[in-house]
Amino acid sequence: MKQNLTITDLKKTYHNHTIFENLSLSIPLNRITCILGPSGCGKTTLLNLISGIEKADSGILEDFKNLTFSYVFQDSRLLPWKSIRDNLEFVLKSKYTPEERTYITEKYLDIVGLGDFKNYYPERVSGGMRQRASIARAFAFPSEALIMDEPFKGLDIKTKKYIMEKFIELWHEDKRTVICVTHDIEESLMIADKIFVFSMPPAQISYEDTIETPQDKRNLKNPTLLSVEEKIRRVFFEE
Amino acid sequence: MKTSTMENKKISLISVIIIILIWKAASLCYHNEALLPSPESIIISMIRIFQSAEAFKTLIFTLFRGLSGFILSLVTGMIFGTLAGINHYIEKSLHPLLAVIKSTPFMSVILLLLIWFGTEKTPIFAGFLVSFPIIYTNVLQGTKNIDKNLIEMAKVYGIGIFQIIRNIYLPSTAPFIFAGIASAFSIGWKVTVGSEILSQPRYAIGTRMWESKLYIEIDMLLAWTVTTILISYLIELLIKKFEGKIVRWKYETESDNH
Repeated sequence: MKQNLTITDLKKTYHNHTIFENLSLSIPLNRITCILGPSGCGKTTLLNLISGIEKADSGILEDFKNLTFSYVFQDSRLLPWKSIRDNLEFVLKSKYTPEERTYITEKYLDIVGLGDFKNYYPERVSGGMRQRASIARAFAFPSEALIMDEPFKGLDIKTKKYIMEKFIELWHEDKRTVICVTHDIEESLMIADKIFVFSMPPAQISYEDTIETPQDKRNLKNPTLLSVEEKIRRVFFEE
Repeated sequence: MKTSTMENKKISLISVIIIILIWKAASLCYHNEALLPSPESIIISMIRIFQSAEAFKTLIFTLFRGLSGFILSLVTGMIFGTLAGINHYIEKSLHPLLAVIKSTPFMSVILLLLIWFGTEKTPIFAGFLVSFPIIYTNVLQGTKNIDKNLIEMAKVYGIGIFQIIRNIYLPSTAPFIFAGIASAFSIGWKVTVGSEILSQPRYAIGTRMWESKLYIEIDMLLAWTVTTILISYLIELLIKKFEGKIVRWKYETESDNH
């Protein structure tokens, strides 16, 4: 049985600007993989290539071709004319019966603490709540892989901590493959099983590591995490 | 928001009363009912008009022409506006045609239409020609305004094209379409009645207006004019009501933000 989803010899250019050149990496199945890197190194482009939003110039992405995806975008991308509940139900329409949809929607909204706000339009709740709704939508959708593009960006520390905990809680339910892009080192240390650090374009992997400690037992003061953090910081500064 | 709507209604009502009072004062000063009838004699004329079955037939026929032209412009405006919004080659190629439609004097268009289509259909096409550019321009703007990120999101989640049209495309464009619909109808309606005056179909408000002018029945001419205005107002009211239902989310979120 397959253990990894692999990308081989990926190439992507934008107007003569090379983003990826012969990039290869393996993403472990049913684990959380974090991709770190400076702004503009092509992290979001990689997610778009994986999910099929964009096409690669060349390279092998066969493992991702027939996967179904959920996507937590940087912005929540909720339909402003639908209530939060209807936003979740919208993506579940083709997958479940109306009764199942209602049950699943309410379950996930309750987990992220939005049970009381399900009938609100997105514009009437805070940015943090919208992002929680977006995360609930991604988990409620029965995908094989979950893609997250800086999902905790722009949130205040308290909300960020709360949402990260909820994310881990939700992930433990079905342990689906997660590919998360971030430029926040601490964030990746708290959630990732596998970490890749990208260099500036054409991006190459300048560092990779695996963290074995279960997410719910992690502490940023733990020596193992501290040493990983130091290595990542060194790579960042060398860049 | 609600209080301001109430206030607006009050102001409109007051201004209507003032206009009627000025009219009444003018008719008193002029003292010639045949040339400048008083407001109440217009109301009496309107009652007299609508006591005959013929008048209703006239009204229904004109309404049918007005609505036909309007619906035709709505359907074609939505189709072409969408296509132009999606593809800028289509937008560019439609541009000269739109410019011609917008700038051609509408009297010459009516005369041409009269030759081509005859008296009955001319008002319909005339109404269509003035409403179409308004609907088209609004739909075009609405289509350009669609958030591509939302479509991208829907595609990642495997949502089909029909669901995308229904749940993203239509709600995005609806506020723009409605913004154009009310003015497209009222302008189209005016032109429909105006072209009836020129084309003289058997049953038509425009024809009745022409006859009133011919027999110098100014009270009848004004009674038909007021009827035309009232119908336009009622239909605009209906459109606004319908809009409130369709783009409810927008009003609810806006009223919350203010």
